[in-house]
Amino acid sequence: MAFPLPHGGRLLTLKETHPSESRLKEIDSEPRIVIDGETSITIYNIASGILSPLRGFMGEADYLNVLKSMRLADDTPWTIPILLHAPSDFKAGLGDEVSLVDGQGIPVATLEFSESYRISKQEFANKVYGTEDAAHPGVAKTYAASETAVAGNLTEVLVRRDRQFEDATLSPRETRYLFRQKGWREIVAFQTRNAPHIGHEYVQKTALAFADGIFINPVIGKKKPGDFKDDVILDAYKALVKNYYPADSVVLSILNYEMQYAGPKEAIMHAIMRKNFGCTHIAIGRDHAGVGNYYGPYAAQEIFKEFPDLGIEPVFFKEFFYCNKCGGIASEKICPHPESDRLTFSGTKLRKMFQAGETPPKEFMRPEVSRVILSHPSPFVE
Amino acid sequence: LSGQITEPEQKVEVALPTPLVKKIADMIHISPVDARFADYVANILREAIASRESSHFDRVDDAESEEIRARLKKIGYL
Repeated sequence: MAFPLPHGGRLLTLKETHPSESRLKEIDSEPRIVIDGETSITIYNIASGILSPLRGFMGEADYLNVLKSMRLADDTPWTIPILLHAPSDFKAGLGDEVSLVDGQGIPVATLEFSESYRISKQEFANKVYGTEDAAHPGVAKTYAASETAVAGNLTEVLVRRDRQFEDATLSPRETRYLFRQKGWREIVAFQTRNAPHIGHEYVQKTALAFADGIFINPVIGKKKPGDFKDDVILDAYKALVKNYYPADSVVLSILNYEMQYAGPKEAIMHAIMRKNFGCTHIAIGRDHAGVGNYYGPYAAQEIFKEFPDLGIEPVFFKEFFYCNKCGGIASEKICPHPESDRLTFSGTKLRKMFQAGETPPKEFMRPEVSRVILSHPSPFVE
Repeated sequence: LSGQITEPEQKVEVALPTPLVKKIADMIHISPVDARFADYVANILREAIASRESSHFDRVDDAESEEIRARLKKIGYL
C-alpha cells in the first residue's frame, strides 16, 4: 500500500510563533473573541495539520454540507463541523484580523474574518449526535454554546503556553517522517482513552500481525470523573510497550483532543486525524467513541461503508473477553462457549479493584501495567 | 457532462453510455432511476480518485527534515 496522502491532499500547517512587542500591541487593538480550552486545542490541532485540510474555522457552506452530506463543500469526507462560537453581537468586516484570546485575555491565535452565521443547535445535535437529549455530553455542550459561528482561516498561532507531555507529543509531520525512517508502509492507528488491559493488547497485536507497526495514540484532555488520569494512561502504555511488544513495532504518542462522544460520526473524524498522522489503517472496536446507549454497538463500524474514498482503511474488531474454556482471549466470532465461561474486560470492575488497592488478575491486565497504575496515588479523575 | 447544476443539491448531470448504466444497475440489482444508483456511481468514482491520489508522496524539504530529525532524536523516538 502506498504511503497515504494527508486528508484533502496536502498537510496544511502553520508554525507557532513568538509575537514581537509591536505585534502584541497590534493584537490589542484588533476585534477579539474569548475562546474556551477546547477551541484552543482545536486551533493547535489545525496548526499542526491534524485537522488538514482545514486552515481555520468552517464557513457556512462547509458547515451545512457536513451536516447534510458528511462532506466538506468540496466533497472531502468530514463528519463533525469545526466551529468557532462567538457572542451574537460580534462584528467584523471581511478580511479583518480577529484576535482569539483565552479566558485570561492572552492571545492564542489570529483569524482572518470571512463570515459569521447562525446555527440551529437542535439541527446540529440531531445531525451530529443523532439525538437532542441534553443528557448526552456533546448535546449539552452544543446547547451551552452560542448560536453565532465565526469563520475564517488562521493566519497566526502563538507558541502554546501549556506544554504538558511535550516529549510524548508528535505532530503529523513528525510521525510521517518517523514512519518512513522505520520503513513502515502499513501502520495501524489505535485510538484509546484508557489504560491498556489484555483485550486492548490483543487487538493491537492482531493488527500488528499484518501491519509493519502500530501507532498508539491515547487521547488526553478533558475527562469524566472516574476516567484514568492522563499521566496514568501514558505511564501504563509505556510499561506495556516496554515489556510486551517487539522492539520498533510501536510508536506511542498522545493526542490532545476533547472527546465528542458522537459515536459513528466521531469514528470517521478519528480516522481522518490518524490518516493525517500517516496511518494506513485504524482499529475500530465495539461502541467506538460512544456514550450511554445512544448508538448501536457496531454503528461506528457500519458508517465506514459510506466513505470509500476516506483514504484510511478501518480494521474492525468485535468485543474481546477472556474465555476460561479456550484458555485465552477470544471474541464472539471465534469462541463457541457460553457467557459463564467468559471474563469480560469491564472498566467499572477494573476501577473498583484499583480503588480497593487490589491487583487485577493477569488474565485481565499485565502485572507491570497494574503496578504502574497502583503506584499512582490517585489514578482516576475525581 | 451536460453541465446542468440542480440546486440545492449541487449535483451535476453526467451522460453515461446506456450499456454501462445497464451493467452497473445489474451489478447492484436496482433500476437506473433509483437514487442509490447515483450514490453508487459517485462512490465508485470517489474510490477511484482516492486510489490515484494515494500513489503520490507528501514530501518535506531538507531543512524541515533536519528540524524534525533533531527533535525526534532529542525526545528519544530516533
